Amino acid sequence: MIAKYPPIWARWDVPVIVNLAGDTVGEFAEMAAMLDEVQGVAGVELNVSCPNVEAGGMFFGCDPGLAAEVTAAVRAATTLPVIVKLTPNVTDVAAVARAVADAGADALSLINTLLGLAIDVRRRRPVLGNVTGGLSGPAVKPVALRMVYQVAAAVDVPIIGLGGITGLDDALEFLMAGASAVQVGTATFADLGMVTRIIDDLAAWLAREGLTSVREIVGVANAGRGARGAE
Amino acid sequence: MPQQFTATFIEREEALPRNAIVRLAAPRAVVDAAAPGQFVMLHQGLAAGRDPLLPRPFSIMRATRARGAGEPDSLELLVFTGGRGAGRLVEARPGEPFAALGPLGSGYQLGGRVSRALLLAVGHGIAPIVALAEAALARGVAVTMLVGANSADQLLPLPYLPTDAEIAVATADGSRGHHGAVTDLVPEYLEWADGIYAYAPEPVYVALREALRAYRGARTLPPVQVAIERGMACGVGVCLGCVVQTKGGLKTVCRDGPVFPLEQVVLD
Ligand SMILES: Cc1cc2nc3c(=O)[nH]c(=O)nc-3n(C[C@H](O)[C@H](O)[C@H](O)COP(=O)(O)OP(=O)(O)OC[C@H]3O[C@@H](n4cnc5c(N)ncnc54)[C@H](O)[C@@H]3O)c2cc1C
Ligand SMILES: Cc1cc2nc3c(=O)[nH]c(=O)nc-3n(C[C@H](O)[C@H](O)[C@H](O)COP(=O)(O)O)c2cc1C
Ligand code: FES
Repeated sequence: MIAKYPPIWARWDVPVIVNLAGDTVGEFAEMAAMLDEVQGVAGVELNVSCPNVEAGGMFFGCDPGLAAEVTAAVRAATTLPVIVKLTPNVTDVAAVARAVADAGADALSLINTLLGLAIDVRRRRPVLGNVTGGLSGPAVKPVALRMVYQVAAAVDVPIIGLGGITGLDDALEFLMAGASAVQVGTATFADLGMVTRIIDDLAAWLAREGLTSVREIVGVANAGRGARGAE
Repeated sequence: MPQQFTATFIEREEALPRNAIVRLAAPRAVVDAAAPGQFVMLHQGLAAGRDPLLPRPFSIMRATRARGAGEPDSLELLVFTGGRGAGRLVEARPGEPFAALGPLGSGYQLGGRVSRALLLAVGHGIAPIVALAEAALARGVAVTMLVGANSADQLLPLPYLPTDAEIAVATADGSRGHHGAVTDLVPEYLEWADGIYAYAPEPVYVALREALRAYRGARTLPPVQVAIERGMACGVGVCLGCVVQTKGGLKTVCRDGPVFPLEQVVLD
């Protein structure tokens, strides 16, 4: 993988961040170390929405202690920027966010998919072979926004907001809630041009509003963020 | 190479109850590249609303270059009218644009040694099977099409089928052709065919496999290619929402398929 793809990424004029998923803390650290100083890799994002085999299948991202442990291990293993991607399947997302920020994360991204389930009424069985699956797209946007808002008020590291973004207005909501950048997942399946369109529309919007930088709107709708004086 | 393009609705023809043939204008590169068994992902575009959110896969029945000046190059699809996404496609007005991606997937392989092809279709599977029949006939391959349906009114009428193919029909209610399953017709062609190609729901493939296993003749049985369907989000192999279990591990239906050798797929 490392021999094949990074040389291709190095030729692109956008930075490429590699999303990592592992079964153990050691695996995360090992992968991060392998990617360190590889041309074409701009950073790593840790997908902690997966079960920790060594901790009885407890999800890394559902426990502040485990999330901090994997963050610290990766931090020590690489000089690359480390983004930790938070799961929404928790009661207190701010607590996990504070733990990973304190453990050395350079940025946080949220949210990953919400655990969902659908039943095929005709077959009287769950639709998915795996029974549950990740819910994404427009349905999760209000949950994602609420969590970005809470986390932005709780930590000082930059936040990448995502979950259900399908156009400029959604992106603006995330920025105003406190995200410094956004990602688009599901909507890309509906329209491969989604990301470039949002970028163009955002530039046009900023010009219309007489603004020079996205920074000027980051967190403007977030009372908690303002109180901390971040950004 | 698949490409992103705008498919413009030209017309619809109600070829069957609850099914329509939809003709869409498409770029020449797409029309020329389309091979039997390949499909397109179609979407109204998010600008037209978010329901349904994701594009839908449809097999290419015919990909035709413009017949005259002022006419567009076009794709013909056979679309079941009951669903949400397909419903929008069928109810479209001339000139209405659809966001499209294609041609996608790995279609039927009509090897150079095949001279007598047995094709089997059930439901909307007749669309890609017509595409394959026409490609095979154009190469001088003899074609027999076995077509199955619940009743005679669900069979695509003859004018839509290639005239040079031999056609045998089976209906579950006996209203036309053989009274029973389409796979009942397979044994009598096993000595004739040197390639078998099917597009049908998976239980039909289980029956097809049984028919092949029951063969007691001296001939080596011809290779069988079948198309698998799964719900699809991306159509290009990145979301892994469409995987199928094969003897070689999990494969994506959208990219590794939809056509697979019958002996490779794990049918449940
Ligand atoms: C490679 C590939 C090729 C395909 N080619 C074709 C093709 O050529 N033609 C074609 O029609 N389909 C084809 N399909 C199937 C089609 O993509 C799906 O049926 C798709 O879900 C249709 O989208 P929809 O929004 O119309 O249906 P949805 O609203 O998503 O409905 C889901 C399912 O329920 C069924 N359904 C919905 N409403 C009704 C109803 N009122 N009565 C009975 N059943 C109902 C639909 O048939 C569909 O299977 C293909 C699928 C694949 C994977
Ligand atoms: C098909 C699919 C695959 C995904 N794979 C990953 C993954 O490998 N790693 C990860 O961190 N998140 C993964 N996600 C989660 C998304 O990156 C994103 O967090 C989530 O879908 C919400 O954003 P969206 O609504 O824009 O899709 C996946 C989501 C989908 C729908
Ligand atoms: S539909 Fe996304 S991988 Fe096949």
